[in-house]
Amino acid sequence: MNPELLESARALGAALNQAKAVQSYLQAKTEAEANTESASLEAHMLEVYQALIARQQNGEQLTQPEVQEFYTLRNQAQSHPLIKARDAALSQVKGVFAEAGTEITNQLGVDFTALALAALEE
Amino acid sequence: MSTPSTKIDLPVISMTGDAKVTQAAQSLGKLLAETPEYQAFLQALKDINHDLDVQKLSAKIREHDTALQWGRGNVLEHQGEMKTLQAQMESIPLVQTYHTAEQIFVRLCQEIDRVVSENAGVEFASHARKSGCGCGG
Repeated sequence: MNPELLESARALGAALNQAKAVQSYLQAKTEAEANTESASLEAHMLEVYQALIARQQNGEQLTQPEVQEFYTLRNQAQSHPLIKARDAALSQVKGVFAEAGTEITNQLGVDFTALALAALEE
Repeated sequence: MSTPSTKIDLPVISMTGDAKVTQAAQSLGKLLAETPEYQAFLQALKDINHDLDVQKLSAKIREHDTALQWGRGNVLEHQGEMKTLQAQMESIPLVQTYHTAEQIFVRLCQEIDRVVSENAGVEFASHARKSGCGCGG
């Protein structure tokens, strides 16, 4: 990457970092991670989710109560005030990021975000 | 009596965070559009769009695809034809050039995304993607 382009990418990253939405999100994320209750609730939800996915990928049929239990756990986690605040802050971040992505796309005429996320051919 | 001052105190206008983001994104887009990787990708795209063989093959592929969507004819025959036509398409040098140029440009976009994300403190492209499912994800 040429130095000017590299500097420009760094500048965009720094501007995004300083955006109010990103600062609020990083703060909310830190708070959710630092709180024992919200952190353990989310870790447990992730653990249950991964176990269910692994069983499903092994061809096992999950029971309705098991799936329901996961949804209850997810709702519990998502309604925790700190997790809720973090997720709401992330939604704001997505808005800012989407606008930035659109600005790049407008200059190129091709979808920058889609290209950046495209899987490279082997 | 002193002469009234003609100097007007204007408020200091600082750019908001989001305006800085917009300006930085525009600058990055402009610089990216000037790179040889982008220019090669754009040229390869134009070349395949203007190539008659590619146009003919694309039209044939679309015909089979439309037939499949409308449930016309034999599914396996349509799928087989599409596979053959796709292989013919991939054997055209201009198409191969396009794929190569695309991959090189994709790598550059991914590298840019990595730098932006590192400096933002949050993954950029994955959060900039507009969700089409309406699920809010």
